[in-house]
Amino acid sequence: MTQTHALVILFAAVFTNNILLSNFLGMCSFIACSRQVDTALGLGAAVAFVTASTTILNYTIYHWVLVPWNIDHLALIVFIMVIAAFVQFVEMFVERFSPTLYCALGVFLPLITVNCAILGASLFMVIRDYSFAQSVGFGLGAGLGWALAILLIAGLRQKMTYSRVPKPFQGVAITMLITGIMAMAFMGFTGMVTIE
Amino acid sequence: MKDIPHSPFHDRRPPTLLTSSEDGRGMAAPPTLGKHTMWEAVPPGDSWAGHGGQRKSTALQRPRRSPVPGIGQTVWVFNQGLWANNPISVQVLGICSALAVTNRLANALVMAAALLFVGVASSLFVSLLREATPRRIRMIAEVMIIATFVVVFDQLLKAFYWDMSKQLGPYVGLIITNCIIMGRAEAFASHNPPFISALDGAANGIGYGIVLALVASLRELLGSGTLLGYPVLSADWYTPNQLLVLAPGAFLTLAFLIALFNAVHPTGDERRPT
Repeated sequence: MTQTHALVILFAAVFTNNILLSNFLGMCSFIACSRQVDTALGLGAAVAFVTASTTILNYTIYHWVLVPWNIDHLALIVFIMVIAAFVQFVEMFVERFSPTLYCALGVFLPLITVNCAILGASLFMVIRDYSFAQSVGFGLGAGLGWALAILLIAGLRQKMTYSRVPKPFQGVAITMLITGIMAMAFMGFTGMVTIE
Repeated sequence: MKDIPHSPFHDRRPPTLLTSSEDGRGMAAPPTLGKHTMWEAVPPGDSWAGHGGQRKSTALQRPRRSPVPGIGQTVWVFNQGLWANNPISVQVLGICSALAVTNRLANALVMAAALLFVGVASSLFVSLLREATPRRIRMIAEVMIIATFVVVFDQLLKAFYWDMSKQLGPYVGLIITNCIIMGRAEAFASHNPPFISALDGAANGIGYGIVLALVASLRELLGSGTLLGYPVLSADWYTPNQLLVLAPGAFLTLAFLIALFNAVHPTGDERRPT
């Protein structure tokens, strides 16, 4: 088990090891929903919340149920079920207590279940063998990092609406290109902190 | 919007189904798709889909329910998966793994094999269970089927190729949330007979594999001067460009590749606004 402090892991997950820009997770909904800053903000917030919560939930289940019973090979199935159930639960909860928020987030919630950033955060948590505090830091950081990346790209794409992009590059290709340049910018953080 | 051939299956991918008001009866000439007309793109030998004029006004045509698909259908499915609707270059689905594991060709090939296995098996089983699955829990059922096969592959990889399993990290497990597999299960296998669904899974897996191999060859060749670990570009005159092995290189390579596909294959990106 690594001894890195949880806050260092949080910082690293947002900047040096951004889950989208250096681990490429959550690209599908990233490309689909990064046309406007408002949409990106809503989706980013929802993903950040669900990532942080499910990482903590999955940590508890993995270390308290799966490992003691020696069924950790079922981790994948259990994790995806936890995520799907949690999203469903959040949807019901939000619908009951805050209809305004439900209207704002409603369309994003089904997208979140199949967002690989969320399952990916749980899997990284297992692979890197984090402690509880580290998992909390990592879950929060991964979610915030994803939200930050989609917000930055959405801002750029919104500005780009009126620019003349060569025809073959229109749509996905130019988005991926600016994401690559953004990833290069984030590489500038490399070396500040390192997590494996 | 009729630049994509009408699907002979219940394939909800492109919005190409004709509505009752435009059943082709009143058209002077069929719309063209490149140098072929739209009707020619439909596989031969299917009387129900052959000519626009014979079409009933219902929006969805019943697919032929024979257990073994004909040659025309097979060719159609493979053309869709490999070229016309390639999951990565045209639909841009499942690119997380396409970006992440393409730093070395060997990783990409193993990943492609994983996707092929999971795609075929899950399409087959989703299709076999399609009558028994209640609509409301269909998604969960599909995810469970996919997850089962992913676990099988993951365990096999861990048992026999531990090093490769380490290198691929979480990306084999992330096939569960791969949009290609979910998309094919949802759009194709849940409406079509098992055999053609398995073929559809195979076609999409191979289409994914080809693009992955292409990206990985480029990145490994230019990024470290090797292919499958064997030195190809000699270190005497070629300085490997490390950027291509790192994260930005993945984005840039795939961006240029998709742009290239769009240029060669103009139907690809037109339905997506910027």
